[in-house]
Amino acid sequence: MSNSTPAPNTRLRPLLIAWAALVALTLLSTGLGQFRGSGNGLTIVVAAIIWLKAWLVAYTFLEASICHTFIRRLVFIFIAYAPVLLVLTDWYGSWFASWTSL
Amino acid sequence: MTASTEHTVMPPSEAGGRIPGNRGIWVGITCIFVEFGVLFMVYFVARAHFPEAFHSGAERLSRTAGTVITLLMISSSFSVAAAVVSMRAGQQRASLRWLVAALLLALGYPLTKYLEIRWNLAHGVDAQAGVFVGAYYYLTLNHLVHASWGILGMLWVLFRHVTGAYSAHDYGGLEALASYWHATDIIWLVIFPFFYVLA
Repeated sequence: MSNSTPAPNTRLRPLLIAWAALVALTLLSTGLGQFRGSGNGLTIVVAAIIWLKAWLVAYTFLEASICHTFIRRLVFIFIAYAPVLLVLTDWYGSWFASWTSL
Repeated sequence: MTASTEHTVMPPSEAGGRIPGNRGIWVGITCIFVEFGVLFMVYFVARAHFPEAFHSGAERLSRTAGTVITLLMISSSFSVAAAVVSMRAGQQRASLRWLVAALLLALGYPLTKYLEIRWNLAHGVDAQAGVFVGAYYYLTLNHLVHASWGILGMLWVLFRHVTGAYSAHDYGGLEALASYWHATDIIWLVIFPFFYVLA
């Protein structure tokens, strides 16, 4: 039987490591919020954290990397969509606002 | 192709890769991703038009509530994933315990949201508090509705699990629930910094 798809995970350890990383990144996000910084630098960091956390869930919990091509593309496009638009909105907000005015 | 292939419960491999759970749940998840893709676009349009309201918005909300909900969501998502992994390893009792843990953690979300809304109303964060708060209620309550469906699904899968419906070779229902819950988690991980972190 030819089977090129890797077998799904059966170990708890990778899940635990991902969970610990997600908790750490969440607390880091909360700390960034307390910091009250603003501007493009903070937006890029926040966007990177959004992508990293969503990727961790998609890769480790959902095992999207061994899923059907459609599912893999759907999930990885969705987790990139918001961070990319967040950065673009902060960089080109006025242009975006004029483009979306009635 | 023979007719016997139609009776395969959960094929380990298909052309193009695995389908966790079943095709139906992925139709639903695709619709939810498209729906929230549109809702996020509404957020970005509002953020572009009213940057000042969004820069000062996070200070009006309870960051503690947002952080607690995030920790509950990721912990619940982890527990559901652990339930699936335990089932694959043939540890049905451990899988059941993880699923119960996932449900209890998930129930903390609506409870925390209820307390957060009470706090909001006591601090004047109501539907007439401007575009930022409007977008906040629009997105977070929409997410709560989807999470509630997930909790109901969790109760059903728990009932099936207790009655011995799943095994190491047939756990499609459990994995379908896990896929939905992970998708709901991913959506929240995007929403959280939109309203509670970004200044």
